[in-house]
Formats: sequence, structure tokens, C-alpha cells
Amino acid sequence: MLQIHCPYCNETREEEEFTYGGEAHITRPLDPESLSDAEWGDYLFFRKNPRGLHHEMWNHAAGCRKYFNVTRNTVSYEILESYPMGAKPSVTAETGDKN
Amino acid sequence: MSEAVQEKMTRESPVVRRESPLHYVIDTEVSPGESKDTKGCAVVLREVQAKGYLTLRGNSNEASFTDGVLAALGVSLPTQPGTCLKSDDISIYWLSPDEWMLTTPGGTEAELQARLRENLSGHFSVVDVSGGQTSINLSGDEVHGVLKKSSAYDFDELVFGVGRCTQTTFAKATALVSKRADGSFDLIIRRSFADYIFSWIADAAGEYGFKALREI
Repeated sequence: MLQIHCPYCNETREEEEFTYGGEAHITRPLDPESLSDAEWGDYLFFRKNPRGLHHEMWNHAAGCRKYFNVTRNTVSYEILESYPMGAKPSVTAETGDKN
Repeated sequence: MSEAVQEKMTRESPVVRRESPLHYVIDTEVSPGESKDTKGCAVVLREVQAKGYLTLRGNSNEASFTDGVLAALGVSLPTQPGTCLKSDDISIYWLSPDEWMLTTPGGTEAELQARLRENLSGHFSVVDVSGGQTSINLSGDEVHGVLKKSSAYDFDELVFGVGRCTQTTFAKATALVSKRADGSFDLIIRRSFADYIFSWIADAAGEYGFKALREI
């Protein structure tokens, strides 16, 4: 089981309290009508599936019921940070694994 | 408006007794604070039925919201995550950064809601959720044993003292758990899960000696 830190409750809780919310930082196109079908399809359906660092959303379903972001290593399952919605990750593929 | 409709609207509504969801499994009725046949029982469950519950939502960074709540309740909103304020009448539980649960003695929830609406303005929400919850209190020497069987959350005295509250998984359902000054634990649970959670606790506490009481 993962131990996930909820930035709103400010506590580390068991994975069973959370649900997975998919890839984070996907912004809705400002002008959907000007997109091609391929671009719109990319936005709607296509997600990254990286080997290594992944920014993803989790929902604290049994707690505060808020969504927040988590940076997780998809190989080791290590969670490097969790941060509230609207914030930028401090650990990225560019900055690398700080550990 | 027809006279018949008008008469119906002004007629006093019949007094309906709000029934506990556990009335058919707990047959020992006691008055609040009273104990009965609990000798030798290391876990005592006490259902505190028919309280009023309100959920309050708003932005605690706005002074108009926090001041309004202070004016309506006489106490300030707990804004630290996982904290609560308890008193004999009104208790306030932090649920999330913009959501709180208020409990009040049964029958006073409408008046409390009106008082909040009077004092609050702007973007806020007060909803009466009394019909969906019930409260149980767990006490006794082995209460931690039952909690450990039921939840992954750490309720140890060192991290979970009086004034803390948490929403967490409890017996695969959810509960809002807090601690009283006497060392017992208050659980606010969904009414529809009350039967299941009661059966779970009765099973978990059986080995310690268990007694269930219903406060009326």
C-alpha cells in the first residue's frame, strides 16, 4: 500500500482513503472549435505513460474529498512530493529525482 | 390559494419521532450519561441519536465569512486541518479547507441554520444533513483495540488528542472520528451504514466484553 500525503489535511494517509485521478496538468484548450479532430482527440483521450516520474492527480475520497497532485515514480512507486491544485511541481523530469 | 390548501399549510405538522437507525439492534435505552449493565465490559458503545447536523461551506480566508460564523455561533471556526471545537451544545468539525460539520442538540438545527444565514453573506452554503447521520460514542479500556481493528488511522494519544478530528475509513466505510476529554471516541457515521458499522464493532469488541446502549 502507498502512503500518500494529502496537502490539504496535511497528513500522510493510507492509499485506501484515496482514488486515482489520472494525469495532472492537462489544461482545456481555450478555443476548442479551432482544433483539428486529431488535436481534440489528443486532449480528450491520449495520456502520457512514462517510465519514471509522473505527475498525477489523486482524490482524498474518504477524507477532505479534494483533488491534489502527486509526483510519483512509476518504476519504484516512490512518491516524491504532493502539492495542491494550481501549484507547480518542484520535482520534474528535468530537475530529476532529487533523492 | 384554495382554503383547503391554506388550511393544510397552516395546520401544525404532526410530531414525528425521529427514530434511531439502531433502534432494533440496541434494546438497552438509557438517559444521556447513564450507564446500565456495563460492568466487566471493556468496550461500551453508546448511540447518541437525533442530533442536528449541518454542513457549512465557505472561504475561511474571507473575514466576512469567519466573522459571520463567529457572530452566529459565538466561537471561531477551526481553520487548522483536522481540528474541532466541542461544547455541550454546538460542536464544529473541520472537514476540508472550505467545509465544516456542525452538530447541535436535536430540534435546534433549523434555528442554528437561520442564525447562520442571518449572519453570513456572499458565497457560502449551509445544508441540514441531520437525516443522513448518527453519532456513536465508544468508551472503555479496550477502545483502542477496536479502533486498530477498524481503521488504518493512528488514533494513539500522542498524535490524536482532544481537539483533533479526522475523516477516515472505518471498517471499509467512513467515519468522522474525534476524541472527548474523558478518553472516549465520538464517531459520526452515515445513517445508512449504522447497521453495518454496529455489527462490525459488536464483532470486533466481542472478545473484550461489549455492551451497547442507546441514549434517548
